[in-house]
Amino acid sequence: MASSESLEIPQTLDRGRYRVERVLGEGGTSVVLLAQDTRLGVPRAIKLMHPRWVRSARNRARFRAEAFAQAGLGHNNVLMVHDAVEDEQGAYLVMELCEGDSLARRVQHHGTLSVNEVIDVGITIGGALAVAHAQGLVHRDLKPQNILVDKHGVLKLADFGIAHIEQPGEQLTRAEDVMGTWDYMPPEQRESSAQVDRRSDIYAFGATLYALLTARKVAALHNPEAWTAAYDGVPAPLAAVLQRATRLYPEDRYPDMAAMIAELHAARAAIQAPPPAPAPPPAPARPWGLIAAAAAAALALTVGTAALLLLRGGPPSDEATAPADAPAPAPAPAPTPEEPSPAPRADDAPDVTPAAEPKPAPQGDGVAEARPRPAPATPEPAAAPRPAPGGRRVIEVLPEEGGEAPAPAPALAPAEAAPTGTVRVRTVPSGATVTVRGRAPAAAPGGGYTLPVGQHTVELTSPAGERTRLAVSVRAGQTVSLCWSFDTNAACGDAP
Amino acid sequence: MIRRAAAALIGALALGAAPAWAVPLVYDGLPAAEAQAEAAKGTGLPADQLEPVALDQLLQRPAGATGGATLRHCAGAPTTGAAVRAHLQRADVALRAGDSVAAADHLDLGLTALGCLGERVEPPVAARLFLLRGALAAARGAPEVAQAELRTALSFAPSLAWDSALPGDGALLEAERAAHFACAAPPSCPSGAPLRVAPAARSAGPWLDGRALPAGELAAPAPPGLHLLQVASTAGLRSAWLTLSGPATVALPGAYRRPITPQGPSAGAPPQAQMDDLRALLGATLPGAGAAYLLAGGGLWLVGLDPAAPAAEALTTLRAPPAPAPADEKKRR
Repeated sequence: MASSESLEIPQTLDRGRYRVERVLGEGGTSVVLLAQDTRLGVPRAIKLMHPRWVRSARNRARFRAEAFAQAGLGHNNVLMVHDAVEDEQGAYLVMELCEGDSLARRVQHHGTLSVNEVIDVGITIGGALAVAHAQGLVHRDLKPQNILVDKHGVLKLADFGIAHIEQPGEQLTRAEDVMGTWDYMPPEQRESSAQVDRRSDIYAFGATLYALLTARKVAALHNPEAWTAAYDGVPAPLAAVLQRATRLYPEDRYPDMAAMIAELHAARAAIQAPPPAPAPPPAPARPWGLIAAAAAAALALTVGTAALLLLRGGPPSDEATAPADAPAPAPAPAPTPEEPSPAPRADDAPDVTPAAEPKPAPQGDGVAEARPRPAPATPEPAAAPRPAPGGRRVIEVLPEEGGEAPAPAPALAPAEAAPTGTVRVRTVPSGATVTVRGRAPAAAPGGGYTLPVGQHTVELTSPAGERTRLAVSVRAGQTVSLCWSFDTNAACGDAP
Repeated sequence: MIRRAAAALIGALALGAAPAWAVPLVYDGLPAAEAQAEAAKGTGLPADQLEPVALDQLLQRPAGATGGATLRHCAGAPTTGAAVRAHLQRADVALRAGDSVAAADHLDLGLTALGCLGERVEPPVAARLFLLRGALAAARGAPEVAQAELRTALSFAPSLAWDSALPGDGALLEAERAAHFACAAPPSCPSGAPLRVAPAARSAGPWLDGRALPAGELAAPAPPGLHLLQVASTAGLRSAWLTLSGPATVALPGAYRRPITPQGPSAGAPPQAQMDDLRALLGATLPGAGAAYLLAGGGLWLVGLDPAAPAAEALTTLRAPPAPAPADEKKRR
């Protein structure tokens, strides 16, 4: 039998029940094996712990806790643990085999995910995390490598290997050395593992979604100074969700995953909302009407989205918005054991790989545990995405390198650009030039200038060459009117 | 959804605050409502575009950082150096007994205590704590984490030597020393970042990794990573973790002394140092704002807070303050 660098790999495990075929990946504390369950005739992934790691009583306790916790989750978007064995051959977890890929490799080989896909991942895996958190389990190592897509396109959260059990008086990893992956780690976890709670997962999850969207480095996401550059091109509603998730202090983040999922739904609604009507009336002092209208529109879209979830068993993917005559994407080739998914590192990459056998449709995306499902309000669109076995949502599984015709990675579509508002400028004397960051802003229909939502510094240059700057805050669909007099003897209101 | 939006708005109104998306208006010497009305008139903007914040309120806020740094203040009660030493001692004992898990436990607790120190840190103790953490991380096969720990250890004690009782040979420590501490001038330091403390003119402190920071910019750049910042205040010494990733400014609002705002009719061009201090204060206490209006002494300015923006765009005088009354006129009054 093959021998890993630091661990003898047995030919069989559990008194011959599992026939080990090969090593899938290896990390600092464990090795992941592909094995055949000779009793049931199905392939399994087995995570075999290194003997030196198991020598510690605390680690053995953690191994059991991981097994119990992950097995107890019973969530369709969490990699299933079938058994945990401690015998003379060592300690090992028998897990569902995931013949797919991680989102990290997906981004690496095929480019970033679209805004819609990232929101899908956020809602689906966020739901799984909400369930884990509700059971007192903190993942502590969320990253794109630990989110897998099986051959049916079902997302699976993997590697609860360093999970932290939130139990007063019994903190198995309470003060162990800093664990998790540096770039995705919240600041408090970088300093001390003693400080983690579910909000640490929320930070790492936000950083993970950001990485999926941009493929950029994520280590300093908690620094607002970096936001302008970091979120350039990210739709403002989604940027706002990720920014709140990755705030420096846990108390400034979402209090729980349910709140973040709700905001992801709202962000999707805001991004998909139609552009603002031209030339709205000047903004009221307190924008009750607009807020109520925006909230109503967001609610309607959220209900619609939830209805689609019910119908499909998961949030819609980008394909849901394709026209009725659009061709369905070609089925992705499923890797076989001989043509395997990349061997993951047991610590840094997914432990194992998604399910070989189709499973029943999931009963939810996890949001159900966090908030009630609204009744279906809209029919399923005519052009539904390619149905997955069990009726689950589909994220296209892209073939391995060298595979057949990889689909091009979805780019950030122009239609998903940040929402905008209008700035109207009046000057005395009239005819001033308006620039923002040195460039002329786009003219808005009905007058004024269209600017993305957020704070902007508007530079005004009079016909005589006098200049000034004013900061304005632009909100979606609103108009801000400003008036500036270059003539100190004439008030702006006096202008014709 | 409607309930959420309404609740947020009601909350904002209940607090008497403008919507969170408004541009900050820092005012001094007049009531908030008056300041808001005056600034709205002066800028030609609707009043709800302006969120009034009193300068006095900003001066009471804890230290903050702008640029490539974040500050995390201790959230617990102040601790003592003795508590840190005790945790380190237990970690040493556990390590000698071969129990690296227990050692890591005690080091973690020591680190938590260190971040809440209510007295000046003992650099050798802190350096050893990070040295042990680095050694354990290296032994665990996490070199990236080990490097960061060892860099912080060296920041406390640049001449720190490897302990032969620890696992490993100390090569990582020497590599970190060579990369970040063996350089005499900034160009030869590959990744150090200049760290400035505002205000430039101040009394004692603050202390970074146990050493008092000189006024103005540091002579040598501080290495990226975790640092312990300690600030003296009327309530005693306060500690915070400073994570440095690039050129940064730390503002100590409690150390500012008036006048802070531009003075007189020629205030369109205040001294550069005063301007830097003002921007540091506003940037650190108004995180996320790209610009802020400043209304003080009868003058109105727009202060640019985007560190990437050219310095020439840092201050725009929207209304110059009135000239001070002549001396003899003052006497008559």
